[in-house]
Amino acid sequence: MAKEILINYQGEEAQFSHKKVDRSKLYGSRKRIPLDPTGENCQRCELSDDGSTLIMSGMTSQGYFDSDINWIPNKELIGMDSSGKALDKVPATLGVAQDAVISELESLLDLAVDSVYQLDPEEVPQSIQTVLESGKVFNFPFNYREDYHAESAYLIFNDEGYFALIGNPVKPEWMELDQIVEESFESEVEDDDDLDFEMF
Amino acid sequence: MRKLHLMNKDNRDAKVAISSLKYEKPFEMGLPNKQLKFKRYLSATEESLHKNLSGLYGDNYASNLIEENPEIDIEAIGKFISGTDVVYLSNKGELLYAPPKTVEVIIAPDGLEKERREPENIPGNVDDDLPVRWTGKKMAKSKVALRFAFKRTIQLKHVDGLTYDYLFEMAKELQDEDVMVLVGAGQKGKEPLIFQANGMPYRGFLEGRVDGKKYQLLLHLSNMELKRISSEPKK
Repeated sequence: MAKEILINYQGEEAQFSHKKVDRSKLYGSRKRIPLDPTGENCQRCELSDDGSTLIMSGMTSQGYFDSDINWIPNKELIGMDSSGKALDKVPATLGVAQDAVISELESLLDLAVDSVYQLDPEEVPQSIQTVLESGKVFNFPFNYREDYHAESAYLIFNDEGYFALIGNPVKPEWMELDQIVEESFESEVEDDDDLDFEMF
Repeated sequence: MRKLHLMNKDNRDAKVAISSLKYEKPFEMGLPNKQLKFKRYLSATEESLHKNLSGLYGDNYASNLIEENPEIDIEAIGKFISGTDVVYLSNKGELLYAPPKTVEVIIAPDGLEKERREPENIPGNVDDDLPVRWTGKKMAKSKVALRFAFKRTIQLKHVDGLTYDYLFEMAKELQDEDVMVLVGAGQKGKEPLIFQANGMPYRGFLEGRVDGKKYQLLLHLSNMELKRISSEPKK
């Protein structure tokens, strides 16, 4: 069982067990399956662009290589910032109380949500419960496992119960009359999701 | 610059610019002072896949792996893979020379198959022709924020003085009322937003922020409510 999400607010600690929620668990999903002429499932493969290799599932790997084509094992890689400076690892936050602050709802709306956890309270002090019941939210750092970046988490409470929304903040730009929108030709809205929508 | 055809509560429409708000990942994996490239390569051949080797060697599979290394084909393994084309094999492993028929499988939330049907192609509905409209459904910002998970946000931007006034007024109205408005697409403006053919439908909520003469008009997109998995009641 995964360690609990613990938050600390003004010296009091709330503890939650957690379970990831995704669309397929709430609404189900759809997938498209190719069938051969006899109605049996097909196998999707790839053909290399020189036509010499038929690539089936499980036949490829991927990794980092240096300029001399030496494979670099993942365990040797480190996180670096945009200037190439090595970064320290950020420890996992599960099982360790994280300092939480009351946050504006606008900050929550500026979160690009990557994952959602439904939370079951093991212990919630009255001070934290009172804040949540007033419609406010808590913000705290979240890192499922040790790596080079902690995400931003929001603890919320609604009619369904407690939830943690995990993601990264985006920054909208303030628009003024004399601002000119720059032309670019990239597609601004990508849609990389499967067709698995039953919400409506 | 991508544009959005938008209609306000008074049925006045305009084409405005949009941009997706993205988070810049603050780190990259690598080695100091070394240029690394991420590549895909062949790590097995068809003959050396687990299912084939286990069938071939049976009970002696483990000892054969150790002693003879049949999983490694020196001639093939390590070949870099760049471009590929998708091909389909029949259930018997024969190459198909015509596109396969597809069937759409509906999976219930419990993971069980519920239905099989002909796939339906759903066109996008956010385009130049029909505007995305205000539905008239305004909800308190606090309710929306606690009820939906927003995966994406699109910022709406003016393209000239007239559209500045148009968007600024919208943002101001929403901020003054402390609400978000549900927007919809399609003929009647009631459908969820689908940005490309067979793409994910999203509920779109407009949020407005104003600071003096500056504004932010944000279209928050959600495909998931914040609710518990039905099999697991609230504690």
